Amino acid sequence: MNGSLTFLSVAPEIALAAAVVLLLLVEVTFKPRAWAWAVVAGAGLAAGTALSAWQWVAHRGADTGTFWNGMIAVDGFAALAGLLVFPLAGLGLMSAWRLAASQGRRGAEFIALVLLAAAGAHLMAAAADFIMLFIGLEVFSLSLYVLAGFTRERVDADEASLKYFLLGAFASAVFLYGVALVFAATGSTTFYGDGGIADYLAGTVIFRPGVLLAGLALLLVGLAFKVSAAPFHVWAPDVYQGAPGGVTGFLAAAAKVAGFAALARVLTAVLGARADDWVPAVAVLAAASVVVGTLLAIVQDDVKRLLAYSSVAHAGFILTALVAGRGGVGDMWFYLATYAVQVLGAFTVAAAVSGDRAGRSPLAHWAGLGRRAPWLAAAMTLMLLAMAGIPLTAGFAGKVAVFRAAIDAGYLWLVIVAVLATVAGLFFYLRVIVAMYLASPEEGASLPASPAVGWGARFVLAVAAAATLVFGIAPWPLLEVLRDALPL
Amino acid sequence: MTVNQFLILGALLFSLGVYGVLVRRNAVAVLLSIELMLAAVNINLVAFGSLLGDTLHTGHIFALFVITVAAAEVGIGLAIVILIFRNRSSANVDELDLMKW
Amino acid sequence: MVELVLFIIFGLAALFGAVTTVWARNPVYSALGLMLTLFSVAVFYVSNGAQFVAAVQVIVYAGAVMTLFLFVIMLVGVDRAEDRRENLPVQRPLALGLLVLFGAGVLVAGRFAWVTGAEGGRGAEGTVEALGSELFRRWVLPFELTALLLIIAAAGTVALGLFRRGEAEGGDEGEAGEGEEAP
Repeated sequence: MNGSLTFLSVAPEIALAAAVVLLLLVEVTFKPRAWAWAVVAGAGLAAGTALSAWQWVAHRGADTGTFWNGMIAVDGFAALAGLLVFPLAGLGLMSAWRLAASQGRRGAEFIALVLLAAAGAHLMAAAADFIMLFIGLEVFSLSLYVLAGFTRERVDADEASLKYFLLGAFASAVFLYGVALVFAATGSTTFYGDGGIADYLAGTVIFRPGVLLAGLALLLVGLAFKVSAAPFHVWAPDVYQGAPGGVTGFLAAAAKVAGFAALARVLTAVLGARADDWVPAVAVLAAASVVVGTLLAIVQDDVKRLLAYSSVAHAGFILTALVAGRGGVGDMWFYLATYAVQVLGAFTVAAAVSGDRAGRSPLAHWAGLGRRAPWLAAAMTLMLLAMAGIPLTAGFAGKVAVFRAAIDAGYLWLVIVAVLATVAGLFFYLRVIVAMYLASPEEGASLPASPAVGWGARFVLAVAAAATLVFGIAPWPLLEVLRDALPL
Repeated sequence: MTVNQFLILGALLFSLGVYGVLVRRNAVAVLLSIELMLAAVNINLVAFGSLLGDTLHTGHIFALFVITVAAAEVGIGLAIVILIFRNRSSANVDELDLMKW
Repeated sequence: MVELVLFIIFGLAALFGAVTTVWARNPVYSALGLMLTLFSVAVFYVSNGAQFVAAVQVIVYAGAVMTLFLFVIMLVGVDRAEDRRENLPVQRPLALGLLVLFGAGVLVAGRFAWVTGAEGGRGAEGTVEALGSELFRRWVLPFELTALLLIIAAAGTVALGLFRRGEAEGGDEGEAGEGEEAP
């Protein structure tokens, strides 16, 4: 373990932190134009992506390890999380660019917080110690709390921020209590290595596992809050609806990626020896999320709330992959990556239709969008069809992958529930599509000004559409590659 | 002197904190209840650390990190509370009924 | 024996403070109750050999953070006692039931050994030297990463709270904030 590699293990975070500090210093000193922000943020994210790509090439598969006394892991899992989260942050910034630029001098803080959230998300995926995981979680969550309330003049945005904050802090405390109990049961907070949790659990039979199981349950609850799995999803609809339109896409995509990365590593790699204990709990969470998310999405009249409940259902689909344990991690990544792009695209369209700052996006705003803005409507249709799981989209390939993983693990009942929910889900996705193409705007209804799409949002939509189609038509190469994205 | 008494105390404080989060309506009081939960976690960490006799001080260090993070969290939380108070002169969670809770 | 007496005294004080925190209608009493709990908990830290954590708890937590709380409570007003009527009538009994259930579970669990981890040597004393050398050796990466948290806390509070002069105000609802409060 040589010295330079030690620093390269946290190089993506260093690059992002340097970009953040530079951004904030340059901002207060020179008060540059907005394009300077874009240059600094783009350089930071590009460096982070490049370093993650290097980690992926050099340290996927065999040549993995932990650094900084077992604090951070360099493996395919962490590298892939970086390759996913940093470009997502870049796309999120492009989609939110008009919002950031309209915020005057506060725009620099906006961009800095997005970069910090991306760094926190990567830390959550790469953490090899519960203390690191906790700090990554807080870096990530605290940035998002502020971003959710960024259009502070609007009263439903500050409310969304407060709800997100209070429930998120509550979930963090529950998570911490779980960590404390796991620490009591295993005598360590470090995941790997001699005397680490994985090592201890693999080598020791615990006669009274009550404390360990209680800790595991609380850990699961805390992380389920973050990924908005039912019944811990209550924050999601309000936050998705109240947060500024430009932010919601990044918020929804990154929260899923970071939360599931942490969950997958903790469950499959660290607590892998206790899989018999947590797999049933994960299966129940998955079934509950799929059912609750689908049923509640059907009754929504606001497109953002609808997408929020659909994201609860998608959390359930992703959890379905995790019941297969380590074998399902690759499928989880495929679903997670494609869903993150879809949800970012969908909320980008929503921001264009209802406004960058606005929260609400009632179905009436979408009436007749197919005539007013055919390209936007087409992009939204593609994203919704992919989320619904129509063949030849990435959503279909992802669903097939996670269902196959669950069947291999012997959870046929869960797959049957999930398939039924998929069929029921078609209803509410099609409802939006019908509104866009068949309904005409009500007479005298006050529609927002005609949808304005910046170049950034156009680029995001193009990327999202391309990824959804390419990985929908030919998912095998990506699925094959993602088999290497396993935690240490 | 066993360690269980500290753990029971910690669990009682934690459950009182959870109760507070669930029933209080004032945002500041909810935040105070969350702090109570974190204090309970810290009791556990320190007591476990001392019982496990870990020479790495994992429990103590973890408690220090929890305190640090809680301070940052409180900073953000109170900023949000003040923002809400400015916008509508109230800090009661239940009065925020623009959206369904 | 002395330890047991101390535990009983400060344990009761901590519980009293916690009950005050969740029960008092006036947020000032809540904050003071939490302060009492934090002080009592600090005593337990000392009795578990965590002197430095106890000092940090008293200085940073009970001192600085709670003062911040009191500032905000005073700022947002204490004249109105909290309204106890519930929109959801089941919420309070449900929470109380949950509390009783959890307490019972804890009392049952308390009769067994909680700690099943590998025991090390004798518990090391948490003095400043001992903690400092571990913090800067083994735990140096998380220690450095808390810098990110502090940046977020600073940038976040500025973004939410500071209304700069000449900044574009007014959201979509036409409801402008009080833009003249820039310090």
